[in-house]
Amino acid sequence: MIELRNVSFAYEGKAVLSSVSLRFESPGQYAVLGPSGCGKTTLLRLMAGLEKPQSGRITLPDTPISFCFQEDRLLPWYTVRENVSFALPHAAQADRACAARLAQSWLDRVGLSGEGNAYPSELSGGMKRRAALARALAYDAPVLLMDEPFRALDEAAHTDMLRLVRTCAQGKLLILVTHDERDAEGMALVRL
Amino acid sequence: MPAKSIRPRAKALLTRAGVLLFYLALWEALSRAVGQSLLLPSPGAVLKKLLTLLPQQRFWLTLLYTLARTVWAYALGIAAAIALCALCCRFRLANTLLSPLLSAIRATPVTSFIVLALVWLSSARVPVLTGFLMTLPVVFSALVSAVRGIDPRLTEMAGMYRFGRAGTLRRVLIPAVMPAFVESCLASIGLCWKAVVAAEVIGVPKMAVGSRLYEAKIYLETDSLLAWTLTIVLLSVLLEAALRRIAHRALEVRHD
Repeated sequence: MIELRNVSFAYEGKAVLSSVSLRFESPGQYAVLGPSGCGKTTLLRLMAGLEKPQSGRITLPDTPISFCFQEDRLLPWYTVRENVSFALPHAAQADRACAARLAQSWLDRVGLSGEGNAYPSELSGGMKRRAALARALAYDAPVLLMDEPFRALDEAAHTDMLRLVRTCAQGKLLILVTHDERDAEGMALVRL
Repeated sequence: MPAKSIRPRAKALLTRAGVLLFYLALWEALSRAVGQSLLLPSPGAVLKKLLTLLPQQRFWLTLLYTLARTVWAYALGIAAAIALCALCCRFRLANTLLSPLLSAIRATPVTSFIVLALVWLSSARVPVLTGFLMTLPVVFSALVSAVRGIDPRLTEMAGMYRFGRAGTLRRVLIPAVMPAFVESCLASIGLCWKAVVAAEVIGVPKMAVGSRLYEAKIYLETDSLLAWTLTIVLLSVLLEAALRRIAHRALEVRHD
């Protein structure tokens, strides 16, 4: 469960969130909708513990949180498979061969079967996005925070990835920031 | 190897040989125009002198001593640069105190250090200190700016996915600063080498290439002076090529 009570946040004196109170129950799937600049990303960063609120209180779970950033943030000096394997639970990383197999299975699921040995610079924008999604899902945390995860994906890939994310998030807490109403279908809505 | 890849290599080699021949011819022409071997000996005379030096054990020992001083100064300079960079990145005060000092070292003429160091140290140690002081600021400033240039979004991602300190260092920080570090190391080896020889020329320690240069100048042995200079240039080129090869491998092996 994540709870925000009267949370306010400002960037350089400009208020982004003012006295926001929200409660996200786990398990559950939530879609945060709102126009650009309304504070969706800030809200997600606050919930990930990446920012501190200027006022109010945030209750975060003790469990690990997987965060799919708006940007891909792949390490350019490692292959796509290595990028995904670094996000695997530490126990799975101990055996390198096993980690590589597990990372490859996530790449297969996001449709990047043949790109495991490629470097991020060799991928298209959509492929990088899918690699970032694979990494976020491979982290296998009970809380999934996703900041516009389907950006730069074509229509078919968008549908496939949304389905995959929602399947993987069964029994977990998924909070998805999006500006696309279609992504929110069947999820609890939070409008900012 | 396919014939296609041999052709450009052979062409590059021929071009280099051509350039070398051009400068040798120019040297020869200038030497003949001057007409005094004391002022400018011919390439042939210098080569002859070099051939007389080559079989001498003292020649190789002298080279070895200078090389050892250079490697020692260079390694110390790099190690100190890494340690100081880590200190500056960890503590802001260290950066405030050290940055102007290292900028001052960088701006100070090498001869000032040599003369000053000769007051404090033995002539055999001065080249090491001088080489060290030439290497340190170059590698340090490259490292500091590379660390500052690391994308904070990557370190944030590393924190989010629990890479841990060691993992962040190994997977994010080191690979991010490696290219700038390697470039600065390659750039400073030439500086270090020249500074060591310059300090030897002024300090005149027992076994040193710089001392041989000084002696050649005192006894007006211009052919010997040029033969030793040629040796220094060749050794510097070889040293840099060896380092470049090591650096190339270091940049290739980035996987943990």
